[in-house]
Amino acid sequence: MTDDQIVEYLRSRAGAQPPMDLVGSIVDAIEAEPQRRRSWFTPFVPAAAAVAAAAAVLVAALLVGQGPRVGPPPASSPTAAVTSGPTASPAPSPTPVPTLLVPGDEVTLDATDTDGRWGSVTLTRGEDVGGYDDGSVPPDSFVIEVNVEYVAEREPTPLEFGAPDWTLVGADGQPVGDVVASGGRHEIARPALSSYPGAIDIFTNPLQGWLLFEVPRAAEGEALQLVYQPSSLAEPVVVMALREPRPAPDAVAVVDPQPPEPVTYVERSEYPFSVIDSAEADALFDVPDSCENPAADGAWTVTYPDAWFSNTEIGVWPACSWFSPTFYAVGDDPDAVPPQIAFVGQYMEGDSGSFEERLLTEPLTVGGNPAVRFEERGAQGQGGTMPPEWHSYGYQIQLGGTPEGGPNIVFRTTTDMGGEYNLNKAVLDRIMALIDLPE
Amino acid sequence: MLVEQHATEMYRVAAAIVGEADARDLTQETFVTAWTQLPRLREPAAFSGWLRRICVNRCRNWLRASKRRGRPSSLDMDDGLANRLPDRSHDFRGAVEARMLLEPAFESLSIDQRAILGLHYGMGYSISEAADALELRVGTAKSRLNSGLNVLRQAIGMTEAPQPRVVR
Repeated sequence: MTDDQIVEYLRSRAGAQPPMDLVGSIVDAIEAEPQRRRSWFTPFVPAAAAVAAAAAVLVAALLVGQGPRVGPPPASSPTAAVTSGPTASPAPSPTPVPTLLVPGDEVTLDATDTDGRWGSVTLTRGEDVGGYDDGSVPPDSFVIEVNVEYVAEREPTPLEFGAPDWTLVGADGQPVGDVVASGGRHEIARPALSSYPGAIDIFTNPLQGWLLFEVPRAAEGEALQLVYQPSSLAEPVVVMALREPRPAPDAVAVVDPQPPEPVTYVERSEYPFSVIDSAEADALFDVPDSCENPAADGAWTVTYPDAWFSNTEIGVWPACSWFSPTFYAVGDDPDAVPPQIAFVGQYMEGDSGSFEERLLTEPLTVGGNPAVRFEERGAQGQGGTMPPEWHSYGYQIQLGGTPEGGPNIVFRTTTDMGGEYNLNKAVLDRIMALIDLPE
Repeated sequence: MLVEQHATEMYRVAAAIVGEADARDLTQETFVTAWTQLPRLREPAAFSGWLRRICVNRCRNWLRASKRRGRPSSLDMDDGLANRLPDRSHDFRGAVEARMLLEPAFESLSIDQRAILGLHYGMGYSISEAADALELRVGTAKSRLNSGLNVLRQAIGMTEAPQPRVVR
């Protein structure tokens, strides 16, 4: 017996003929099931997402050939552990039970929905910090950090949870401050708590991340409380003391990124062109993984370190476009590259133009195609847009007759992306040396 | 209509992973789940992959539940199949014999091994597509594919595993 018989067996399993009435029975089953979550979902999503949701509802209508139906109204109140005032706006409890006043304090609550407990949520008090060195917090504010982890025992109803469940309020019960804007270097160590449904509709369990509350320094003298109120509930579930009045920490100075250290290239027998000399990158490739971008235009298969992370198809990005040395979370905009990503690969119809200063242009053959290895630095004030300490390094692989005419595949890392720039370059060298492109 | 477009594929995915006997119910559950959760789908263009993931997850849940129930395998339910077959051709008998060896081996695999073998070899999905449906990294999917394949090889008496048939 051979592998062929195994494959034949597996194909025979998948070759089953569906019963004649399969489609009809599915439609009957769908018609018997109210699409109950829709009426809950719409009010809580951003406008653009609501448009997408509406489009999905239209698709749903087409699915069964009838107009959308509205499910039953929500239950009036959950079976909450701790609640406060009867109004819809969060109001502090007169006797908040759990507290998160000291860094390291940990509280585990019932994750609650309209039907009661659906899992647990554990909060760990982080530090008060004066800001971050990436300048993402203005000097007139400071930050309260809280780590949150949801563990689901069933799907919540409606299926919505994450960052919007939490509000920081002052003594008067009114919201205080905002959350720190995403996109800065601080997110590499403190990935923000995302929300579900979010940018990618894959049920994430557990869901973990950081709530980073940006608090005006003027509120340092206030007692602050953290309110847990899922958006489907009319009243808070729990109100916790989060900060007692005390001086805010000093503002953190913004640190501008420094120009990268010079690198040296070495010839290696396993690679068709020179690569940056890096024992760390070599060690990473001792345990390789691979991924495939199956896009009709600009497909590729690459070998990359098993310890790193790549992506499945997200937003406009095909699978195998992002590479990160650390775990990353997709933000609310699925097209936005998370800050942890060290480099990206993308298909471009034309040339990858730049206003910055070109430091390196090295013709190579990559994946059997003509290519250029390049490095740039910022030329702000001299026609460029980026500061001089900013660097960019990458490969442009030519798919068409000329680089200018395109199309091209471009892999690029920059000093403001995740990871360590020179290591990113060294890893990218090795990935490009091993890339497979379809003929 | 979306059901018509995707019903056969989902039925075959379910049959490849759990077997034909329960494929109909799982296909139906897949579409009902998709219908109730459709508002969560932000990218209508991603419907196919999303539906596939729902179907695979339904199959995984079914397998977990069936292990707890101690459900008899499809081979147990069809014991003696080879004895009932007419001796029409050696190839046909060989295929039946292979199936009798492979069926219990397949059912002994882990849930993800069953799923990756069914999706990749049975359905013809690329490794990347199968990994996506299973929400696994490609490297993990390949590892489970190879380990599952080796179990099946041993079941049919192949002592030395040849090189994997699918590399990327």
